[in-house]
Amino acid sequence: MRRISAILTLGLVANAFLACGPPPRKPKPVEAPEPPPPPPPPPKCESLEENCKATSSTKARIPGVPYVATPPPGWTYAQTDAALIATSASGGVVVLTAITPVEPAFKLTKQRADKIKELAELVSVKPRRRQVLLSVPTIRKEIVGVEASLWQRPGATRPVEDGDDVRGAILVVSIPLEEKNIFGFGFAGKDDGDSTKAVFAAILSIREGKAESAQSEDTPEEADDSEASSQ
Amino acid sequence: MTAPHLSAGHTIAGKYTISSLLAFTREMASYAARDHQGNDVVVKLYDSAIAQRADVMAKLDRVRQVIAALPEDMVVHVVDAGYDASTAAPFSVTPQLSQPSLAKLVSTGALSVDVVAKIMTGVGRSLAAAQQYQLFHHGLKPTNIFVGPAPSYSVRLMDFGVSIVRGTSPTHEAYAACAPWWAPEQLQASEQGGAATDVFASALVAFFALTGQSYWRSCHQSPIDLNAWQQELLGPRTPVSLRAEEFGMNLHAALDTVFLRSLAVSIGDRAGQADELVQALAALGGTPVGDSARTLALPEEFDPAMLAGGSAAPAQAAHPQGGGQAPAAHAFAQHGYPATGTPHPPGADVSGGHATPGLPNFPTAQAKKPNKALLPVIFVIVATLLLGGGVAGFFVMQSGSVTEDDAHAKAAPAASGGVGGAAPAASTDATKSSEAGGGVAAVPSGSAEAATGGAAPDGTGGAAPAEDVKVSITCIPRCGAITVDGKKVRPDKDDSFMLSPGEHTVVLVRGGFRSKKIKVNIEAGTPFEKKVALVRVRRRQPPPSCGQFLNQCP
Repeated sequence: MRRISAILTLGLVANAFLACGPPPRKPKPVEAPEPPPPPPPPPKCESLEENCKATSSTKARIPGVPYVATPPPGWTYAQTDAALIATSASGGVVVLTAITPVEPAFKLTKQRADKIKELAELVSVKPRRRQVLLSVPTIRKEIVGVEASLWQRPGATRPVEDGDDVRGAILVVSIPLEEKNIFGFGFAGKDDGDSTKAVFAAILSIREGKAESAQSEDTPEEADDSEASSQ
Repeated sequence: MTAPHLSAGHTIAGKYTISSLLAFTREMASYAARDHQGNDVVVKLYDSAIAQRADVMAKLDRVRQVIAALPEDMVVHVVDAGYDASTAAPFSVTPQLSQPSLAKLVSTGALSVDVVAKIMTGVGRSLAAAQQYQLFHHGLKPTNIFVGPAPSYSVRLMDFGVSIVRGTSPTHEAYAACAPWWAPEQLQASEQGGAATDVFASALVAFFALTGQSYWRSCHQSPIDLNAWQQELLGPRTPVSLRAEEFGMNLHAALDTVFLRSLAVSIGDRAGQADELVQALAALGGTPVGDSARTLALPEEFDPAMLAGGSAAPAQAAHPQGGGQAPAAHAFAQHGYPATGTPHPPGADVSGGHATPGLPNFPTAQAKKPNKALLPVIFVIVATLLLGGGVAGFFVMQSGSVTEDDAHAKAAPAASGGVGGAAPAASTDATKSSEAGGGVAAVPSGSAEAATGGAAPDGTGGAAPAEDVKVSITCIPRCGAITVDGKKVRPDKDDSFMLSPGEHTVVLVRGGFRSKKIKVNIEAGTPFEKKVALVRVRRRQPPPSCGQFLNQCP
């Protein structure tokens, strides 16, 4: 009997201890998560060093006129004050700007030649020495609703980072607008079919409009590497 | 590793904005650039791996120090050097020169012996000046020799130290580019050629300047056959007169011996200096060489205006083997010209109008000084023109006055005859017109009323000169130019102009349209109006050719 009462007493004591237990810890207040840092400002894509990659929906401004063009997807582009420049790793280039045409025709021809020289230096393209006569075009083609002149001039070169100079042709375009002409050229290696097509497509993509914010789709982080590598 | 390949617009070291790429040989890239002050410069950007080599960088520093101590009319100073933070590549900056390189000069044709003699004298002088400091070029070629204008053809050398970079970071491109100017010992990296290596290159450069061709047969094709070149380089030499004959050029056989000695395979057989070569050329060209070719002595008639580029020399470079100014710089100062740190005026032509045969003229940065001997002649011509113009003007004015005076004289009797009835007013108006117009008889339509106010000049009153008629000829599309009786007219805003009555031939011109010639008969007092449609010229399109972008080749 004593043993039973001792066991019961021990059980009661144990229950009492377990029931009370150590004082409960206060739960730590849950800290509200810090708001994420604001996204970096969108690149203005005004320099090639910003490494803005074009996509198929990019609208890049052509300086001096309210017109835009879509640089070849995957190419690095910049909307500089001097020109819209797009380049590819394989050596392809598109450079477009606006000129105020002069009269008479022979002065306009010289103006075109001078501008080509200036733009070529801008993008390190070396046109053939005696090919700058841009009077009668190779073909005329309707772009932005007007008859544009296109000149095809082979024998140009452009140095690339790895490897020998790329040899190819330049395609010069002049689109007469009311006061100004959209003027520029594209370059692609003669064996670089993709760049050749891309340059031609970029020139045909010229249309009236405003440049779209680069942030929406053209941030360097969102560059479409697969497209870039395919060029 | 290669030198950074940067695009136009990139800024090097935050100071130099690239305009274009000049040359790229993997271990080194040369860019045309512009600094913050708007000066055009050449920036050489080296392989960034070189920056890791302290020994190489120290050698380059020493080269720059020695160059800074040499007179600026002998070498092209490095105006800045350092590391580009974004690419970690070392760079050096030199001013862009307005003087052409020897390669550029020869591209227009081979030079005459006397000109080559003067140029090689300058080369020898510059090399000798550098050799005083144990500095050798070892990369001499026509593209880094810059030649000043006639008659002195002063020479400035560039690219000292390039051989150090190329030796550290050898590339096939650089090898192919420089091989035609290498000496045999440069095939072995360990071999130290010294001055004799530069003598070998000088001889090759001299031959190139005299003939417009490389001495090596293997270098006449592009790309160069490097294996054949090596065999040629180490093989027996052909006399230069015979080699020149292969290109249809004539070189005097007297040069054979000296060239053979300068182009000897073994360094021991070669002359230690380029003097021998220079003197042989000078003797053949009839040009006195002077002491300057043999020593470091400075040109007797040093003209700072000869220097082009106008860049400031690096400030007070120390003598590499001791403090203070270098001997050459000291001597330079003794000639009354600040040794260092002085910006030179842009290059001026010192030729005095005497072009030396064999060398084409090239534009200098400043206008030529007028020849004083021509001044009296110019003065007489100008005076004659002024006098003649004055006399002609006087006669024109006199004739105009006479006409008006006659009108005055004759208008009075006419008025008294009661025909015109407005003589006093006409006379007054005519006088005013005469005064205002300086007596010139041409009176446009508005003021013509004054002269024809009812008084005929001949006094008859009935046969007054016909009044000009307003003519409006409108082209469709608008004319670019309108010519009446061979004289161009300037239509008003409403395409009208004044024309005297009678028959006239009018030619209407517009670019891209066929010009139209019409005859018009203008009747007095009846305005003339006509619209003319121009026909567009259909230019024949060139036949489409097969190409890369358009009409793609199959």
